[in-house]
Amino acid sequence: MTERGWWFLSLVAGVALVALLGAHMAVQHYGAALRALGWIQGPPARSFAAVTARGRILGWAVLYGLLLLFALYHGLYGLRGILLEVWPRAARVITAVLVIAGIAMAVFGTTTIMRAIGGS
Amino acid sequence: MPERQAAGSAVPHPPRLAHHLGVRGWAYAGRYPVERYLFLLHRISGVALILYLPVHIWFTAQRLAGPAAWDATMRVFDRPVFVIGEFLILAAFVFHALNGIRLVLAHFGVSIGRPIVASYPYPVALHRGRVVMWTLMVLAAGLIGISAVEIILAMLGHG
Repeated sequence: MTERGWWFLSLVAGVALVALLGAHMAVQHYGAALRALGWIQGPPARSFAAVTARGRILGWAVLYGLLLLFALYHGLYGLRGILLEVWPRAARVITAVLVIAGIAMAVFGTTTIMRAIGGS
Repeated sequence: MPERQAAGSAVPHPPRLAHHLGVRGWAYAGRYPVERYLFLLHRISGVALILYLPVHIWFTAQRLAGPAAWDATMRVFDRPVFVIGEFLILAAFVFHALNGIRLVLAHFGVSIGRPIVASYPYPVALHRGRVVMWTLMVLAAGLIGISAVEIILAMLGHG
């Protein structure tokens, strides 16, 4: 894929993140407002019961999986752009390090999500 | 004679002109309009979010170790310094998301209008996007304000 393609993919990921991360942030940071509106119920969003319950629901697991992958891609692609401005001659090293870090975090995060679905 | 040339391109690349202020140029933008400073905030908020992400991935994995490990982790995040830190991350996301919407709209020419033949007095594309920009920034301020109220109420024991 060309640089233009990677850039466009970052735009797509960014737009998706507005919705996905918006949903995550709404549950985590606007709990009192959403409860007052009657939109959410149950234990506090950060309690172990609520976290494990969400983790076992397939829809939430898919949302977290997509969120993880889009956030890693969009964030690391943006970071790469900044680093290349400062060290343009180290482009290959910077890209390689960020790709490896991204894959490592994606594997670790996805494993957590998958294990949470199984209830372990 | 240019000092170096972009790889695979016939167009000379003037390195000192393209980046002559270096990292200093990110903060000092001279007499540029407000959008230039939104660019700086977009960059700062983006870096903050991507640096926070590995930490977030790590601590959310603690739920797999059981309720005791999870509660111990959450107690750390209940400390005021982390509460403020989390609020700043939320603020960074809200700003980055809404300013990002403005950038995507502008990227596709939605908020800045179609290209036209320039005739004096020259129109500035940024001025045509000002309504969208201020609408999104007021929305961001409102959302950040609501979260601040939630945090203050929670700290006072009313959340």
